[in-house]
Amino acid sequence: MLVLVSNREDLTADWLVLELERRDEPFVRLCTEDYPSKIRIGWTLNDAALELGESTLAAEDVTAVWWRRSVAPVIPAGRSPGEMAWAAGESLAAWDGFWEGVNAHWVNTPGANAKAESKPAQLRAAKRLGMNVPATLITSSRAAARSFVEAEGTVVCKALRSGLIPGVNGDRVLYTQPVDPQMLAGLEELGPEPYLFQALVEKSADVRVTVIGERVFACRIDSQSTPDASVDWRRGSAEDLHHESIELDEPTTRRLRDLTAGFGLRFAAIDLAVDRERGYVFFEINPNGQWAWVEQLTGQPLASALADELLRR
Amino acid sequence: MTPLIDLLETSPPVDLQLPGGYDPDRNLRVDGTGRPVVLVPGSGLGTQTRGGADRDDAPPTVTSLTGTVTKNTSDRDEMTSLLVTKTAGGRDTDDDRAIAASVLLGTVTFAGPDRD
Repeated sequence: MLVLVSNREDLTADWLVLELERRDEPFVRLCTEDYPSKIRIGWTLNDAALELGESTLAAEDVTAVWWRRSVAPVIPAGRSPGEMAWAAGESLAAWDGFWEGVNAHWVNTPGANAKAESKPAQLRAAKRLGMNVPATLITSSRAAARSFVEAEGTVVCKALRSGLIPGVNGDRVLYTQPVDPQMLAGLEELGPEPYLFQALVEKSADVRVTVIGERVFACRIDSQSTPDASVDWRRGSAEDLHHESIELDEPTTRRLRDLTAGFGLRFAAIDLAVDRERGYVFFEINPNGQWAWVEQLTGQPLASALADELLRR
Repeated sequence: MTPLIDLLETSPPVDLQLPGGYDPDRNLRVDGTGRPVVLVPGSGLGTQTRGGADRDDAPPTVTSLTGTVTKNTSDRDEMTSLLVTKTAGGRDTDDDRAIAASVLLGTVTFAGPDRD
C-alpha cells in the first residue's frame, strides 16, 4: 500500500491524490493532525499497525511512503502544559518507532530530509561537486560580517533554516535581501543568533529544478522582469513571472542528480540562478519543496513523475 | 541590543482563507458542491500560496493573494473584480469562471504586499 503522510492543509498533496485517483491506484493519505487522537498506534516486538477508524494499516503492508508534511502530535487541550508536552513527546516516540519499522520505498526518509535541510551541508556538497556556489559566511560576529561585506561588495542576508518568524502579533517572513553596510555599522552586535550572508549573484534569471528519482525537470523563472522579485523571486506574484521549461546541460544535470542522491533523496527541489558570467549558480536544495505551481505554469508532469516514482513505474 | 533581524525587512505571510473543507473520503479538499479544490502553493514559506486553477475542469476557487493591505470584502462586485484581476493562469481562468469563483468563495481576504 502506498501511504501519503501529510496534513489536511497540504494542498500539494491534493495534486498527487488527483493523479493517483486518475490512475485508479489505491493509497492511504494520513493527516497527521489526527494522531494520536484518531489514529491509534499498536506496536509489539513482532509487528506494528495504525488503526484508522474502521481500517487498519499494518507496517508490513506499506510498500511506499511519501513523507510529505507530517505535523507534530496534537494533544487535546484540558491538561497542564507540561503534561501536554510530555504526552506529545511520548506520542512522537511511538510514531517514530512505527515508521522506523516500515521497510518500504521512501520519498524521502525523514532522516535524509533532516540531513539535506542543513544549508552548510548543502553548500559544501554542491561545491564539492563542482558547482558554482556564492561566497558565503555564517556568523554572529558583526566584525566578521562587516569584513565580508567589504570584501564581497553587495551582500545578501538569507534565512539559515526558516524564513518564517513566529510572532505574538502575527508571523513575519524574512526574504533574501541585500544588506546595507550602514545597517551593520549601527549595530553593537548582530545578535546572539548567527546569520547567513552571501555575495549577491548578478543573475539574469532563476531556475527551479525538481528532481524526482532519476528525472530532472528544470524551469526558468524570469525573476528579473519584476523589481520585487529580482533578489528573491518568491516576493513576486507567480502570474507576473514568466515560467518556462528548459533543458539543463549534461554536467549540471549530473551534478544535481549526484547532489540529490548524495543526501539519500529521491525527491528534491533545487534553486539555481543564471549568473551573467559564470552560468548556473547553486543556491539551495529543499528535500520537501513545493512543485505544483511549476506544473501548473509549465505543464511539467511532476505529479505523474512523483506517482511513477512512488509506484516504481 | 537590537538584533539584525529587527532591522531587516520582513513581511506578513500571505494568509489564505481556504475555501471548502477537507473530505476524508476523497482524501483532499472539496468545495461546497463536493468538487476538488486544487490550490497551488508557492515555494517555501508555509502559508504563502500561489493562485491556481482546478485541473479537474471545475471552476477555479482561489486567487493569487498578494497585497500590502489586508482587505476583507463580502461585496460581490468588488470581490468579482479582485478575483478577475488576480486569478492566476491555468485552464479555468477565463472571466466567467472567475466570477463563478467569487460567488463560491463568499468572503475573501487579500493580505500581503500590495503590488498594484
